[in-house]
Amino acid sequence: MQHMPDNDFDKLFRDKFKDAEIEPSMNLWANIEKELEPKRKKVVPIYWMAAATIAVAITAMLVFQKKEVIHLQGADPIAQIQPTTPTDVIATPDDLTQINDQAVKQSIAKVSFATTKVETKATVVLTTDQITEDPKNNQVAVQPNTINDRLLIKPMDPKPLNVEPIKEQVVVENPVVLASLPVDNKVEDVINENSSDRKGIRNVGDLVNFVVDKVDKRDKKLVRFNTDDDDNSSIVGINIGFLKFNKKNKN
Amino acid sequence: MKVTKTYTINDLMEGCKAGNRQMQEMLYKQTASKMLAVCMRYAKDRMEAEDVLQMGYIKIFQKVKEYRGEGSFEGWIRRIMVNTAIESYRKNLRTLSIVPIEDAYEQPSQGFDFSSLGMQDLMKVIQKLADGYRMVFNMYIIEGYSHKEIAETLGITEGASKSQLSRARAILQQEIIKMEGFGYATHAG
Repeated sequence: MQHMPDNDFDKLFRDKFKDAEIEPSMNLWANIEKELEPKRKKVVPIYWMAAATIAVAITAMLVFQKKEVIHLQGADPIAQIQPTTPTDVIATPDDLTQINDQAVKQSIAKVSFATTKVETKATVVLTTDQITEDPKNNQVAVQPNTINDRLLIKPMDPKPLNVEPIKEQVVVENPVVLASLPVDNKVEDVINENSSDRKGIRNVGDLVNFVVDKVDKRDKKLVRFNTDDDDNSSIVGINIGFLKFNKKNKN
Repeated sequence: MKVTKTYTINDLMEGCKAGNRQMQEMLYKQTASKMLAVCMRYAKDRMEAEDVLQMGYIKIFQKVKEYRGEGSFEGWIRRIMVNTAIESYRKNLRTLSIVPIEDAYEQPSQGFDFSSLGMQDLMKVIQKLADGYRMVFNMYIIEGYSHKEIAETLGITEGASKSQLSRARAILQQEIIKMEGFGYATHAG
């Protein structure tokens, strides 16, 4: 018996299946719908989580704002004095004596400590080393506290000046130069950290700092950016109450 | 019934693009039975076919935004169904069981009418084929893929595609003849 030619055979199948319909089970759509559903629900928690985080951040800000207002007092006058002391010290001996008087008044104990050490040239070098180190140490210790404390410790700078009257000035000048560099840097840092307004608003970091300055009157701001002219800004400090972060503390 | 017909398939397509659940359901109701028939050809049984159908519709609703109106929308839906079926076959690829062709066909003594066969009968015969044969037969005969395309899709050689097709044809003819013979036998008896 002859076989059906392939073409006819193929056509038979093609025609039979062309408009073929088979009714699916009743519950199949429900299954599909169920599988489509979860993707919708997943969207909702994201908004809720965002809202919750914002709420927590705001409440934390409000709660901690009031407590820390007290620390603010006396911050400005200190910032003005600081730059004058190191530069004047280097300039003239006359100024030095004046400052020495102040220093002696403010911290007699410290001065006496310095003078006892100054006996030879070698010890002079030692004291200068101390001076370079002392500001650092002091500032690190001071960081978490208010700026007020920093100035109280500053009077230690004149220490080498006490040495001067005893020895030649040439010896003293070098140490002072050595000492002045790190001191200056520190002073600038302190100023930058506390008054971004002076530079004006040049990038996003400045803008954020400005806004946070206005809103958050605490010593350590909600967010603090370190900014420069090249539009680079990096977070220096965060303070959301329970979460505190300050780059300066790590130095 | 008239409610569904007030929407053209393009209306439904737009609705699905917008993610409208009602429109998705209407599109499903309008096309599902045709698509199940497609899936059945590729599956071993109805359960497997309905699994593929479900996966296919999920994919359709997810991808409908990518439909750019090239070719008919129904054709696009059908293509996704076929691809889903092939994908599913490749995922649980059982070793291509080469079914040996029986040496001699039982030749019926008189001519018979193939066209009297119903679609359901042909479906049964196709589903009985070994998986590999069924794939090649469906893709080549019904969907119109070339042997080259089939070879690339299934990861076999073109020669394998051709030989599997001719074997599939032979098996199907044999099965149909058996069926016809049985039919005649029952008629006679």
